[in-house]
Amino acid sequence: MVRAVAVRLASLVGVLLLLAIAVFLIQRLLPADPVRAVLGRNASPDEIAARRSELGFDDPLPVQLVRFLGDLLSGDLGTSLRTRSPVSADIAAYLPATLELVFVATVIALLGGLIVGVLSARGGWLSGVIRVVTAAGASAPSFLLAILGILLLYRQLGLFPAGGRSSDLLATSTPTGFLLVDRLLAGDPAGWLDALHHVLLPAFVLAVGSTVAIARVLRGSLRSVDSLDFVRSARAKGFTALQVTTRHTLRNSLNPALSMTGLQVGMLLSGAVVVETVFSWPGIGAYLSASIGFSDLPAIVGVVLVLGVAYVVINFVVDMLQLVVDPRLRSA
Amino acid sequence: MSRLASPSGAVDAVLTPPGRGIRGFASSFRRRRVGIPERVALVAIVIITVALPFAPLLAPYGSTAVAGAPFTPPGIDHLLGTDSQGRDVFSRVLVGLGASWFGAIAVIAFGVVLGSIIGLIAGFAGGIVDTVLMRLTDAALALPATLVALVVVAALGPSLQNTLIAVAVTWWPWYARIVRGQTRAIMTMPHVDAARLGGFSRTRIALVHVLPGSIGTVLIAASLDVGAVLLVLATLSFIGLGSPSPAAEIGSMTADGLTYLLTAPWVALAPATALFVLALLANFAGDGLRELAE
Repeated sequence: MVRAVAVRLASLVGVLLLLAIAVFLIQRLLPADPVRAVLGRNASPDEIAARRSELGFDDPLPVQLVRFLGDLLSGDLGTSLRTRSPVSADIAAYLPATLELVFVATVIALLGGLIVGVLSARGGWLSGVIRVVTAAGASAPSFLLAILGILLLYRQLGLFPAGGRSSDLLATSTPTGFLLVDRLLAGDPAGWLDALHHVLLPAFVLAVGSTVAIARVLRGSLRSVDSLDFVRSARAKGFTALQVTTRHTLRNSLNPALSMTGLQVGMLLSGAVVVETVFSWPGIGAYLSASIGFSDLPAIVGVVLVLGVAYVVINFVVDMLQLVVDPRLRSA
Repeated sequence: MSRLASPSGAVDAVLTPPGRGIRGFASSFRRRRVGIPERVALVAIVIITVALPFAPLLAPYGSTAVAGAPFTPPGIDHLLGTDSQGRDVFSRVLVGLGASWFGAIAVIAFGVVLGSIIGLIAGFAGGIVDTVLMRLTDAALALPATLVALVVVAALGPSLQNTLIAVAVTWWPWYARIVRGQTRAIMTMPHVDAARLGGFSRTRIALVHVLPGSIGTVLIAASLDVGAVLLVLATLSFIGLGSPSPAAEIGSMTADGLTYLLTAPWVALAPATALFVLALLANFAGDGLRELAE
């Protein structure tokens, strides 16, 4: 067990380091000139040269790399060209909204994936319908789902708001930044329901792809467990189909689905970029889109690093959870 | 003493593991071992691949030309209406789909070639080379590919070409893993021993006796990825990393249309739906290919 954890921990550190180095090299070796970007188009060559050495761009690459890694460890992601404030401060301001959206989407995807996966493994006409729907879900670009959601559920039916986090556009979220938590703490049930009402549609749109992925994996593993002897024994003893599913097959099929869920949380974080843009959700995805429009490389790199680290760390945590759930993995 | 076998093409042919070949595929298709949706998709994809290069000729209007009044709803003159500049949405969607489709195929092809080279070298050489290459592959797999691609495009400057480059350089690790696994398996087969005893060079054994046996599996895996790459490319264009405005790209057209979503929904809906249909066909066709090969 200790050895298994140590191996995974070492590879986590390695992958994080590789991510940082890859991002550093992309920034330094590709033609974008960060100094010119800061000073603007009209800067004189002398000014640029002076600023270059001041910012340390004349140092050898390894020296720059070490400085870059040191800055990262101390949480310094540079200064945004667009907002002129530290990228880390910008991200800290926008991150809670994204995490809230991704959290709700994860809950939807996990529950939806479980239900759809179990239903589609049972066979019959329903599984045929589900197969077509999941195939469509896997092929639909998230911006199409978002557009359809707005046109149908907002414009036609008026069931959900078209965007934003709250009906009160100026609402701030303190102390945690998570609106659903803050309004609960403030004892504001109407405001809490309003926040939930706003998060549901974007979270659902975000969750569709992951729901499909989880359902497919679960369906596959349910099917393979279903043909094992102990399941046949359980059926022979006279348990109902529902009992066999919940007590015998589902528990033994959850591991691949759990692993897929971890992978999907990482996908949801990057998928949030599109969904936030469409729904004017004030998270780091919308911040990233705005930064791209401004060619704001420090901000883009900062957001990508945060999302990338989250992706890698979440997968590590899922790996650890699997060790807890499935003792067979511990020897590896 | 004469040598047991001379290195000749005929011997190569005998020593190559039997593949199913085109004829095998055709007979599987006729014998209906493939579901109806997959068969429809396979035929549609062939037609699309042949027709889309002629998209600029098939389009009734130029993809960047003003063709009518802005925001004309879909009708006889403009099948999918016009956008905010009065450009014909149908023509732009056709041209955009062509760029997406061949862009995705180019990305996959590059990934397959790069992955196959890395996988073949790792599997064939074994030892330290294998360990290093596969550790590298594992690490590349652990990184979020789309995010890395995003930084590459942002640094190179937004354009379709740069998006293709960025996704291509991140889309090989799975293929490397598949080819490496296949290579290891094929290396234990008797025909490889025979080839070795026959005195063939290592390069020739790798390319002629081992690679053909593994390429089928990786091509099937790759065909299942085309739909996903279509979506990744469109998503990067949607968030502003595609070519600048007048260019007809599915992602950026949809993003532009969002502004007028409630007054002129077709501007955003048409390209997004067209992409969905293409991705769906690609996914079904990939499934069909896999079923044919099984």
